[in-house]
Amino acid sequence: MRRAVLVPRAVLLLCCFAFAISLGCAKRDLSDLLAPNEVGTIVVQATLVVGERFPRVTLSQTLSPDRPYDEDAAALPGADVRIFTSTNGEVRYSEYSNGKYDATSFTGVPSPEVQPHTEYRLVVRAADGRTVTATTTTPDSFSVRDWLLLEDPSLEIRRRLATFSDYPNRPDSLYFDPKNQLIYQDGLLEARFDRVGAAAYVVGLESLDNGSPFVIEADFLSEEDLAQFQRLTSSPPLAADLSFIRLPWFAIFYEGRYRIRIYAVDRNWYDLVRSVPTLGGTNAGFGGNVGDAFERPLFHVEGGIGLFGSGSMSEIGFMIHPKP
Amino acid sequence: MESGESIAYARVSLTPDSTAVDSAAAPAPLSRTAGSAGRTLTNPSGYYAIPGVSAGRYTLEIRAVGFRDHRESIVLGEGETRRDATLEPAPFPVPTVDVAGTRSRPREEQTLTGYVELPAKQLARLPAVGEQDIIRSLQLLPGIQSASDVSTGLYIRGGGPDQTLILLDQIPLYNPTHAFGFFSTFNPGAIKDMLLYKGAYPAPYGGRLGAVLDVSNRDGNRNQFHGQGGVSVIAGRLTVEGPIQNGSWVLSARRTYLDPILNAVRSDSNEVPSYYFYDVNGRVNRSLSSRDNVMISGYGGKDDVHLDLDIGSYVDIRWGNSAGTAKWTHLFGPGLFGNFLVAASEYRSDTEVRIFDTPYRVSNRLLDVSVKGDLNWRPGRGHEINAGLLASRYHFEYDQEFNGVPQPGLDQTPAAVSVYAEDDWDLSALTAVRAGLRLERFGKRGRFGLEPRVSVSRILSDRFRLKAGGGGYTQHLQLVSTEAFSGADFWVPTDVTAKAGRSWQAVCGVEWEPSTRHSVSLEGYATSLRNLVQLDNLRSPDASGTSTEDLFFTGGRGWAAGVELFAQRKTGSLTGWIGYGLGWSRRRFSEVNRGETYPPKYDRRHDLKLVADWKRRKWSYGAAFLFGTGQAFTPAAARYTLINPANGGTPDDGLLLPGAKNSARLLPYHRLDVSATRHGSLFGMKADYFLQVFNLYSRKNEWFIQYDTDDPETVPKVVHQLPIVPTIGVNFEF
Repeated sequence: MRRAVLVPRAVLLLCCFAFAISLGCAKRDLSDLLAPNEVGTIVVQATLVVGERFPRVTLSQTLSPDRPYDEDAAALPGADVRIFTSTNGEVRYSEYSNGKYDATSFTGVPSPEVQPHTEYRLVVRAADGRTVTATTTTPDSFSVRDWLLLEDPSLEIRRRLATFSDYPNRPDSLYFDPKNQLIYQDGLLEARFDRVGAAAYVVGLESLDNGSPFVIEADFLSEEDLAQFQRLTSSPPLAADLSFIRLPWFAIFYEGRYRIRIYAVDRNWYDLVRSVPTLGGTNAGFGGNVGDAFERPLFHVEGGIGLFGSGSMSEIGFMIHPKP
Repeated sequence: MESGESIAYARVSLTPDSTAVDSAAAPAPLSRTAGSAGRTLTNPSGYYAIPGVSAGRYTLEIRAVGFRDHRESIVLGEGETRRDATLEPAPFPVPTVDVAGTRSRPREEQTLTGYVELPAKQLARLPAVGEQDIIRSLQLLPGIQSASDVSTGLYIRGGGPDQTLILLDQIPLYNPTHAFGFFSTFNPGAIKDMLLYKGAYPAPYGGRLGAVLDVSNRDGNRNQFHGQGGVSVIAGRLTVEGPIQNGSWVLSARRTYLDPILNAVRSDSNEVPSYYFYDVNGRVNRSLSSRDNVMISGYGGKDDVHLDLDIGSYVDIRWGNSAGTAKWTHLFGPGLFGNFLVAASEYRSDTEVRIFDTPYRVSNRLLDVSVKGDLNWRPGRGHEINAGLLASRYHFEYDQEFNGVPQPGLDQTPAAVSVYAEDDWDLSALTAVRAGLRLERFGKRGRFGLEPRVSVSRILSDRFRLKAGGGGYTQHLQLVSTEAFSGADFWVPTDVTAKAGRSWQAVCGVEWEPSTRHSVSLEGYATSLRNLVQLDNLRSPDASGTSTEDLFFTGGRGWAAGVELFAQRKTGSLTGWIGYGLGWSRRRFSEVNRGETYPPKYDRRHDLKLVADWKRRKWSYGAAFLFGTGQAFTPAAARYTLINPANGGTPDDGLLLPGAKNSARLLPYHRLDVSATRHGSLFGMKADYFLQVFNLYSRKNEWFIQYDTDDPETVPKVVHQLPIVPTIGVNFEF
């Protein structure tokens, strides 16, 4: 009798365990993780650099998040693109190729170059009648006064680097100037400048020699990790009250030629890059709950998303050599 | 075993003895008009007072949960005002959640909404993961959420962990976590009990918008030397205690022993960090006279992580708390009792990272030095007056350095003073009212906060009680918390650039005791929040300006509302509870989510908890089942691309555009934890051998959605929480 009672109890217990284990097999429809309700939004991109010609304007549309990005599918052709100044100047654009527009006509503007301390307004009218607008005010002209190599840790000046202004007709020769030959992690590279009325500074780095070997020594990195390193990198936005920027060695990965550009940027550019992690954003999840870092970027575009920003720039080139 | 510890909230009754026996040593027989009777409860320090008692013969009865009823005939002479008593422990099983059992309930629990008193021993028996943890056990109560399986942060009734004041012997602990938030700093062997006010907390407490968790260290055994300890897969702990002249002492310590194991598996080809944590609690109590008692307690704990990556590359992180309290308790006279203390609490965290010869260092420190005085006065039947003062001086330090360049930091030393008064009044035999007022002054410019508090309870019948309460609350300190890494948490005082946080709470509930071993409560709450702040995650690390306006989004608003059902079986071989919560929580900041209202991540519509504890002979079995609506997350709404204007680069697979903040839900969360404990012996000591299994059916509960912003795939990754985790260990007593 006792055994007969125990057997059904054991069967019941096993059934409960089996049911409990089956509950552990969570089924998830991955499409529920997406909410594709902003497909087809117009994306504008144009960055004005003081002293340079009016830039290309790129127009596209957002695609569904469950598809790889397709530049041709996203392109927005057939739009009317104009940039206006506060003094009634107008720059008209013509379509160069699918979704790409170049400045072709300048009315009431002093020159085809972008001026400092000037407000510009972008107006885009798409073929389907939608309108997108954005405004930027360019910062003052910006120039690095001294590019220096300092002793570490005393910070005494070891030497001044040559600049592109020393090679006005042969810019490529700058990389081979003896003063611009740098040994990896030997000394500190610093740029000193006078502050301008900018929202922040952003540094862009380019390793120009495709295929050049790594200069870093990192046994703790796997092949997969090393494949993530890129030849084009940029800094997060840096404080506007700086008067110098020191280059951290962890931003340099390869041997060969490097070009560094420091931009003094406007509010639009600053807000975008600090809110998009890929562009150097600081929203890397510090503070708050995990997963909360996925936040909408700051676009400053009415009727669409993207960047219509401006900056002024100073640049230098040098050669990186591995440690002896 | 008698420990000599004071007994809080014991029910004391004094009845004139009309059958007094005349003796040469006794006073004259009682007249019908002589003497008076009375009932009261002991206060948290075990003192009681019954005013208006004349000389005479009485029967003194004292009842308390866990103790045998005490009954004795006493004779009070002229001018005699004091009678102490010692209660013997009772053998009957202690309920899983002790709301003071069937015959004696704490005054707080009778009159306040959302109040729970939790003896640490009972919480420590609930199923755990790796190491018994009292804070994790609190997460098994309705209305209390956790952010994840690896976090001990308390999200109570729609509020965040920074909205709960956590006290240890009346001094705040500012980051009571170990192991990146996985465990709390509360050693189960060192803790006596925990008082949890889930909302509408009374006037003696302040400084937080939501709830209060008041933890007390054990006093120590005044009668004999005693010890207890435990060993689990994570850590070992030991508590020893014993008597001193007119007092007691207790010392508890706990430490992980993972470091030898990690050292053994570390090699040149793998980067295994070294890690350990420890904590130490100590307390000494001594009665200096029949009216004076002094107590000194201390806590120290630390976590240490070190990871060597390569020559010139490493990560070094250390963080910890330390706290000390010195308290003097004085009985001024019958019915007037005072506590005076000096206390200090420090939290410190230091991080050093060096990658490819580029150093980064950040350190933060919070020091809180406080002086506090509380008076408890029972002027006449029905009234109990509490009043007090708290003066605190804070020192907030935060500094960071990147590549040898100092970054903007913080160094502030604000002061705060608060005073309160409240009357806990038995309006009638059926109705009690507790009304109070708290006034706070914070900072150099003297920002004031006036906080009324009120609670009412009404006995509807011998089985039904109605309770309601509410009040206003102010918060001047803001926590910047990182869910997956609590060692980075730091506190910041709000300054004049932002208003202090403010909340108004209202709670109403009904309690029903269908029998002496069961109770059911249904409680509804509503909270309005103003002047909330949220860290501006997009701020450049080197941006100057460290005011509240610079660091945070300010002026936020929010609300939370819900109902909770809590049904308990408190005594017997099978005890436990069913808790269900239905709740909503919302936030709104002008700079977040384009100014639209959104639910915080921890907003959970449904929250169900079933807990059972079954004793049978030499075995105890436990189970806990949790079910909750999935947490909120932000889905991806579209894909686009942008050229990096600084270098002309373009991400290969574009960028993902986030949709409305927290507009989607993860799958529901549920898991089952079980435990089995064998009561036996070990080398002559009492020992409990336990096996605990966390997440028995290894449910792949979702933690968060990971979007790879560098290379966004078409299908986002779901990061899951802990799988099945078994734990074994042994607890012993000597």
